[in-house]
Amino acid sequence: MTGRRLEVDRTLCFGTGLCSATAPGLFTLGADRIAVAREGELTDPDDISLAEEVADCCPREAIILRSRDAGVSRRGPVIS
Amino acid sequence: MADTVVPFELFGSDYFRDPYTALDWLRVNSPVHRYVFPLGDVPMWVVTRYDDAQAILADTRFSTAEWRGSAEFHAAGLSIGGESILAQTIPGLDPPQHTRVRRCAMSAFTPRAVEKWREDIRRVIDLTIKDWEPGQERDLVSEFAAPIPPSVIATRLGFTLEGREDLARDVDLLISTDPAEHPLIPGARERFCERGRELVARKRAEPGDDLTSAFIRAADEEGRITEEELVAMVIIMIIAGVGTTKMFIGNAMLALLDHPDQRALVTGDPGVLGRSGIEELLRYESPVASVPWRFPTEAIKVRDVEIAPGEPVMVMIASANRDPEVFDDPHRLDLTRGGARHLGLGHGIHNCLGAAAARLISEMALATLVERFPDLRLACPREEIRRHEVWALNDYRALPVVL
Repeated sequence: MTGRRLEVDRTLCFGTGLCSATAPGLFTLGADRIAVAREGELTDPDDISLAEEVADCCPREAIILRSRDAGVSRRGPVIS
Repeated sequence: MADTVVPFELFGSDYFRDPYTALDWLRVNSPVHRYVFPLGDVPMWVVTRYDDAQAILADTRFSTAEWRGSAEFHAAGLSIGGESILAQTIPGLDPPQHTRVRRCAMSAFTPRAVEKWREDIRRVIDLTIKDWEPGQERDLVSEFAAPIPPSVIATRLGFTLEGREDLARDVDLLISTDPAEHPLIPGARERFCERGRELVARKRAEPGDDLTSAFIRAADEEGRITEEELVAMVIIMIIAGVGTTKMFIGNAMLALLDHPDQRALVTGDPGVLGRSGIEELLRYESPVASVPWRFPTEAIKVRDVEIAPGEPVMVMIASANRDPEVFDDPHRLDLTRGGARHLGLGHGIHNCLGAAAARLISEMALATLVERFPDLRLACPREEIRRHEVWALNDYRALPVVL
């Protein structure tokens, strides 16, 4: 697996604290109580798969995982 | 702070008439308060400050899994799920199981997904009030707030809801702390599990374009959740549909009736509900007065108090949401309020999965009432509107009005 870029869309984030509680190593809440990614670039496969899981759990779809070459992967399989 | 004597009876009848005076006192005088739960004399803790509440909900060492509760907690029979499938519902799971199950359900409940429910919600609301005329007397709880959310959820899950009143009674039993009702709890638990298994079996035989069928595929074809987690998922959707959104619609309408100026704001501009009004109503009178008990997985210090592993902690959302350190003039209802996020839909890994659905259903329901019945008023003296006396809830049993 190649590296991925991890971002939080701070205009969508509500600060529910789900990501920072589930994966405190990857996310934290800023002074404005909105989430931020601690590391922009993820290379460890365990970190990447955890980030994917958390992105799928985010109630605001505010977590973005971007491959360096391909486009944006916002979510996993969609149930609707 | 431990064993502080309080000048009122916590969770007694007077408390439910005005919980905020008692909570204000605790927040100042005993923010991490030692409390002995009357049923079974279980030592517990009551947390009332916003920052402490948020910190606990953000800390996964405070588990929601009931099996982690103290020996006294279990001896008193306070576990809601017991050994049943109910113990496998999302709110009671720890990571990594929680993350795996929640991941499977979340995409159906994001704001983007829920936006597609609008037509269904509209249809359900219109059907519910099709015979309503100005001047009639109606009970907004039993005739409006109670039927609407479960019908919407049932539609999404792909079945028609039968026996809603029986279900609602069983939900009450599950959370009852009345000793007289305790022998009835295992029966209610079993009826829920049975209903969940039946619905899954029925949908497995005849799948459709609905959420239950999607969850079944996630279990059977993709192996993302177990059979027990699948049944628990369907059960928790039904419980949530019957419970919290109903309470919120009632609480919110009562708050608007109590504040004619704020109601006038909605009349003049119903959009205020979607911008900030619903959030303020959730802050002001969240249906969840306390989130489910948290059980420390190790000894943890909150302020100067050490909480032992397994000792149940009540995180009082009703108090955190009225903390003057965080919200200016916290007892004032101001539908245009911005600023800090309320904790009415929780915080951390267990923040409300159905939040977007609850927001949309209640926004559309409230806007409809305010718009169609401009003269709507209480049909009884205000003091006769009483909270149901359950420590974790802000729940009114009836809201009689003249349309």
